[in-house]
Amino acid sequence: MEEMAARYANRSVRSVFLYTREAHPGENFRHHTSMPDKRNNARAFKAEFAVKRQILIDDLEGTAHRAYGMLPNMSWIIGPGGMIHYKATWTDPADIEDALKYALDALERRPKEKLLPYHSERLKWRVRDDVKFRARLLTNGPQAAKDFYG
Amino acid sequence: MRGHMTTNGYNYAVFNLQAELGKFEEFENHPLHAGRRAPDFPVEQLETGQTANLKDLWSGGLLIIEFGSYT
Repeated sequence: MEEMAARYANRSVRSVFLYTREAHPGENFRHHTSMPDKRNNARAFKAEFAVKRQILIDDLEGTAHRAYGMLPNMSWIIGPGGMIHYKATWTDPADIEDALKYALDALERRPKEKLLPYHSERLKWRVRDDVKFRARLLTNGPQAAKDFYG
Repeated sequence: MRGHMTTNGYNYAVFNLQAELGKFEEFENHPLHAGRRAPDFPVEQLETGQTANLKDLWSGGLLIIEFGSYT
């Protein structure tokens, strides 16, 4: 996502990370009980993953996160006026870029060609690497892995 | 239940697989979809501590929002 964000930075495209509740809390990265908790975890995230995108923090109750669907790693593309161009259950940079290119092209052509929007949907597929996922959960703390795998 | 949770359970201390799988099903029927208007909310900018409104971030062009957390 960082690399893709950098490539489109000068094309009226802003890319942000909105920090939510901890999806898989564990002993090392606990659930948030205060905004300082949330900010500290967000800083740790920024540092570990070298995030250059702007990080925004939702309130402690997750008001924005709830309104947008409350999934752990969804992605959205929103245009002027708040028009939703894309939403996805998970974050796939290639899929987002595909949607982004389409939206940029349509917005550019729209005034001249008098384009009208319409809704469409498609199914996407992803691979989950269980070995990596389990290792990631263990980084959060043994309880995080136990809560997921039992 | 282990640990402290906010009264509405948003910040859970214990991950519940079945409950969270249910959220994916709900998302499929979520009223917000392409072509509709996204809701605006104030959010805190981590770097500065200042508040920004989402609508100000998408007003100048396209805004890509990735939701997530460390864990």
